[in-house]
Amino acid sequence: MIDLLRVLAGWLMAIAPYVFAILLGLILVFLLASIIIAIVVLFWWAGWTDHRVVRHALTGASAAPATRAVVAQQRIFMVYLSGIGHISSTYSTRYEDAFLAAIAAQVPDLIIVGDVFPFSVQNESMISERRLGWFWSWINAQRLRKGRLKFAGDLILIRNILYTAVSADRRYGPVYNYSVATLILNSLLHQGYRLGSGAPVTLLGYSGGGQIALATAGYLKTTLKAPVQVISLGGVVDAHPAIDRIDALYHLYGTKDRWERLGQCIFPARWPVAPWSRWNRAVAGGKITVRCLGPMAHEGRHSYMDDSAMLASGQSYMAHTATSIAGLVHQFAMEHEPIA
Amino acid sequence: MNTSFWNSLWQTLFVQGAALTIVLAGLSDGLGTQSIVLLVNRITPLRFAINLVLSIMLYVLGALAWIAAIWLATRVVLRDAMPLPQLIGAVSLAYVPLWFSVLALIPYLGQAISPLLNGWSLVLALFAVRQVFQVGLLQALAGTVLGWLSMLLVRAVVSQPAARLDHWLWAITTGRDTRIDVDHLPLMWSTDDDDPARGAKDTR
Repeated sequence: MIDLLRVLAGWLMAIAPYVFAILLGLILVFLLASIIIAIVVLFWWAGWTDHRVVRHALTGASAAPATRAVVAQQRIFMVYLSGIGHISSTYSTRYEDAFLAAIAAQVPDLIIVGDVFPFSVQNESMISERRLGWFWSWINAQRLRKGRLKFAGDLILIRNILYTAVSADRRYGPVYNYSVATLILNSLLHQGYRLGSGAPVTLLGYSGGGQIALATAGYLKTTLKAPVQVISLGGVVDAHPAIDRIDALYHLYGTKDRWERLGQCIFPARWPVAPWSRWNRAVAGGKITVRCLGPMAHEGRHSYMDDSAMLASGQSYMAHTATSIAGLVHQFAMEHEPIA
Repeated sequence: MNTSFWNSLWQTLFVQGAALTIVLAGLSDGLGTQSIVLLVNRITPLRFAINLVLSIMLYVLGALAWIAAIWLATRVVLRDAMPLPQLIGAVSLAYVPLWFSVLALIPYLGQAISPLLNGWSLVLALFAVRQVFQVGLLQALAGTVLGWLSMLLVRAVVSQPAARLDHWLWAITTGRDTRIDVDHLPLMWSTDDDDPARGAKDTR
């Protein structure tokens, strides 16, 4: 037995330097990748990289001030920003399609704007990236195949978490959030929103999309001159200055959502020991409402969008989440209906 | 100053690598902080490089001035004349942690790295002074803080001309008259234009 332990200890001592070297290498790669992501955003802003973004003009019919007749026909707009597991604005999980359809079914005249990928300043899908497109395509294929290499899909999460960190960073955030807000505004106009109509807009952000929804909402509020509310679904959300400008923020969470709890931990302004912080003041003032939806997890089975997991009431997790959000969207639209 | 002083200074800076240590710290600091300001202001790559080289030069001058101030202060406090090159050699080691200043570029968490590295550097400087002058930690602290305060005093006295010089250097290296802080970027859209981001891009 003692000999066996000795052999084991010798073996551990032999591999320890290699394990240490691998760990150090992984940390260095992570640090390098995070710096590159921030630098890419700044290079794009500085015009050092090509601008391949397709923008819709603000001129023309959609940008013209709304007439009374148009205002009377106004519909309800909700922008959906996906979570960190996505690789483009068009890819949705089977959960998400049904979830958005369930919200749309409960809010008459609702237009869901879902074609903005929040983890890119150019609305460029990850598989379309010039240098790394092939890599992300391969990673996504492994993830969908659910084989032995499915864990590689976590690289997509890490990449998009880093973009969420860029959005929350006060040095890069203004540039990044403004760029994504431009994409959102263009999508709204493309879907028929009319500047000056005063039609209320809801931004629904799931996971890391919650941070970007809040951070972009301030710019949208200034330009639209209309009521803007943000709904964060399991969002990893910082106390962004946009809180002061928007009309309301609903932060919805599940008790088994570990990612949402991570947001509470890494953003000091959300700690209960900081009652003077922007977040806690807004909670106390009623602008931020923090609401528990139930025992939901962040993603996959038993998540907010799982239609097979049931609450004690007999309602599915997805139905409950969709009903809660639809109620908030509808209520906000009714409270801020433009006067014709 | 006799010839042996200059020989000793040359040996310390360029043979023992004190200058390289400080230059690397300056390069890392320039990439970690100054590069963000330059890119936000949409500077061209060539002007970016020129400004970065200039910021490294100013960083090295600042470091040497700080070490000289410590040397003067410790002479006053300890009434001891330790050779300046020896002090430069020791205190330049305090700039080694600042080689990692480029990590400040890490999104969100990077904002906390700069104060940590500066604190680490200050502690190393304290121990370097203590080692060189063979004094207690409190006396070393007194000499370092006095050197730092005298630097602040000099900066306050020359703040106006220094600001004019800073503005002049910014203008000639970047080709821009004003330096826009990221919090003051004119981020708004113009409905008269065909490009929503044009309003911001006109800040070029």
